[in-house]
Amino acid sequence: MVETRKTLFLYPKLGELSQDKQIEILDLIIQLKTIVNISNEKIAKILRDSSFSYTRCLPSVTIEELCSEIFKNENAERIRVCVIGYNESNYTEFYTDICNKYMQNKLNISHLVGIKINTNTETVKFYKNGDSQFDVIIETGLSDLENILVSIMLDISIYHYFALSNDIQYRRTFSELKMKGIKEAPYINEYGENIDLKTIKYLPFTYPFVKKIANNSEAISEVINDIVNNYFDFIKRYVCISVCLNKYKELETPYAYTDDIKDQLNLLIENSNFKKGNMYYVVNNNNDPQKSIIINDDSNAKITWLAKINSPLNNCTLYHIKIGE
Amino acid sequence: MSSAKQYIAYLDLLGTKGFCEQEDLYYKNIKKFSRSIETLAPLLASTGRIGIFSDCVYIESSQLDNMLLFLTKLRAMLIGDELFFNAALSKGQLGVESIGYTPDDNSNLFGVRFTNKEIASIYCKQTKFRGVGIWIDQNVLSEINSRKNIKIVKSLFYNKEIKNDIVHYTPKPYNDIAFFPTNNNSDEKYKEQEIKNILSIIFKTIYTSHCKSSQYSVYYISLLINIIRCCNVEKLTWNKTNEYFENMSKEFEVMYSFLIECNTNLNNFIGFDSICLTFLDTIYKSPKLTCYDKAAITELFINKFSCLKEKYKYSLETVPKEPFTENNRRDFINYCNNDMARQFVDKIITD
Repeated sequence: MVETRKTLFLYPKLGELSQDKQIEILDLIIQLKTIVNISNEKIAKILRDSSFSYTRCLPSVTIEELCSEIFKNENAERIRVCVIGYNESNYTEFYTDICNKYMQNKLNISHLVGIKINTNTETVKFYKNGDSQFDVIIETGLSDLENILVSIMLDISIYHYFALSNDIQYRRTFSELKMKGIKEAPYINEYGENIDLKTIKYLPFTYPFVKKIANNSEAISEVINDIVNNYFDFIKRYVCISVCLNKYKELETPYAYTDDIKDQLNLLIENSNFKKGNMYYVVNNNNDPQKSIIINDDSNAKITWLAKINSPLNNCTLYHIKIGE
Repeated sequence: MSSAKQYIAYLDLLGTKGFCEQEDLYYKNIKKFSRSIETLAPLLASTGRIGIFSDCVYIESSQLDNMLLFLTKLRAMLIGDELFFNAALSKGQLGVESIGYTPDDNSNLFGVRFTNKEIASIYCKQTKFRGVGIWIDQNVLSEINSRKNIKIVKSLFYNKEIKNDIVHYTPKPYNDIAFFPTNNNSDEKYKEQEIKNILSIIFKTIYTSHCKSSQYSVYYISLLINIIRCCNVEKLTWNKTNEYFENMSKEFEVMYSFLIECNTNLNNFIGFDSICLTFLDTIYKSPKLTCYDKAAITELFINKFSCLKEKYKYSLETVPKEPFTENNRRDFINYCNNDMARQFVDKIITD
C-alpha cells in the first residue's frame, strides 16, 4: 500500500505583520505556492520512474500560513519546513511555539528545517545559528528552493523504500546517523563550501542527487540508481549494529548490547545458518528472529533486501553480523 | 446610499461543477480558495469589503488601485493551487446588508441581502464572460489605462450559441489586466524559471480539462491569449536557414512550444485558431522582423497549424478580426494570399 505523507511548509501569520511587511510577503507567498506545486510534480515524476521498483511512500508538501490550529489533528507531526526569513526580514520569533514543542519532543517529528529566502544569494547555504532550535537553516534564492523541497521529500520516500521503522525515536537516531554518513560522504562539497558540520543536525541526503536531476532530467533513472546504492551503503555502514561472532558462532565479548539485544541475537544465531567467514545483514522484524530477513553481503545484497521486504517493518533493528574464522 | 465613487467586482471559481465528481476535491478547493481570499483581504482593509459565499466572491473598494491589486494577486496566488476564476470589474456599489449572524441574534437566518441593483448588473456581466480572467467594464477602462503600473490587454473569449440546434462558438473581444508579470519578482535568477513554472501549471490544467471535454478547455482561451499578448518580442528575430525563431523571451519560447504540442496532441481545441492568429499578431509586432520574415513565418504557421489552413484557405475574408491589432489582419491575409498564389503558380509553371 502506498502511504501518502504530507509535509507542512509554513509561512508566518500575515495578520501579525505590519502592513508593509504583509505586502512584501504576499509576492513571496505567491511564488512559494507555485514552487511547491512544481516540487510536488517533480517528486511524483521521480517516484514514478521505473528505477524505483515500487513506491511505498508518496510525500507531498503543503504550504500553509502559521496559525494556532497548526497543533490540532495530525498537522503537528507534518511540520517540517518554516520560512524564517525573507531578505532583510526575520520571522524566526513566530515559530517559538513550534520550536519549543519540538525541543520537548511533543511534535513527533524527526527534524525541523528553517528556510531563509534571500533573493540576492547565488548559492545555497546550510548552517545553524548557535541558539537556533532549527536543525538546519537553509538560506536560498527562489530558483534553488525546488531542489531543496524535492530532496526533503525524497529523503522521506527513500527512508520508507528501505522499510525502515516509523518509530519516532528510531527516526531521530537515524537522522543523527544520516548526518554522520553525509559528513563522511565524498559528495559533501555539494552542500557548499565551509559548511559547519559540527553544528548542523540535519541535511537532506538526496540533495546532491536531486541537483543532478535538475541539471539533466534525462538522467533520472541513472541518478535514482545512485541514490538507492548510496543509501544502501550508508545503511550498511552507519545504521546496522555491528555484531562479531567468534568461530563458535558466539557473541564476542565484551558485549556492548543490552540483555534484550543479546537474547534476540542469540536466538537469531541459533535459528540461522550463518557460514563462517561471511558477512550478513539482518533486518530483525518486530524483534522476532523467525521473521528476520538475512542478507548475505554479496553484490545482490541490496536487491535481496528490497525483494524480501514486502510490508513495512515496525521497530526493526538492523544488524551487520560478521562471523569469525 | 453613498454617492462616493466605488468599484465593484464579482468573481467565481472555475470548474466547481467538475470538482463535485469528487467531494474531497470540491471541499479542498473551496477551502484553498477562501483561504487565499482571507490572506489577501488586508489589501482592501481600509478601502473596501469582501463577501465570500462558497465559490463566489463580491468585492467593493473605494480605491481602484487596491481593487486591481487584490484581483491580480488573487489570480496569481490561485495558480499554485491550480485554481482559476472569471471576474467582472465595474464601477458601482454593492449595497449589502448582513442578515442575522451576530452573537445576540436569535434569528435562524444568516447571510447577506443586496440593496442595490448594481450588484445585479455586475453579476450579469460576469456570467456573460465565459473565460478565465478579469473582464473590465468600459466605464472603468480609461481610469485603468491611465495607470503606469497596470497594463491592459485585448483578449477574447468564446461565447457558446445554439442556432438551429447547432452549437456555435464565436469569439468575443474583451479587456483584461495583463497576466505577466504576476508579481514584483526581485529574484533575477528565478525570473525565467518562474515563467516556466507558472505556464506548466496552466498547461497541465488546460490539458486535464480538455481531456474531460473541449467545452471546458475553451474557458482557458482568454487566459492563453492574455499570456500571448504579454510575450516580449522586442528582440525576436527569424533564422531563415533553420526556419526558427531566435532571441526569444522565455514566455514566447514556452508559448510557441505549447502551440506546437497543442497542434499535435489536443484535438478539437475550440478557439485554437484564434490562439495561433494572436500569436502571429504578436510576432508581427517585433521591431526586428522584416516583412519577408513575417511572410515566411506566416507561411510556416499556415502549413504547420492545420486549423488555420483548413478553416481559412479559401475563405480569407472570414479570418476573425478579434485576434489582430492595427493592420495585422490585412497583412496576414496578404501574406497568405501571396503565398498560396505563388504555390499555385509554381505547380503549373515549373523550371
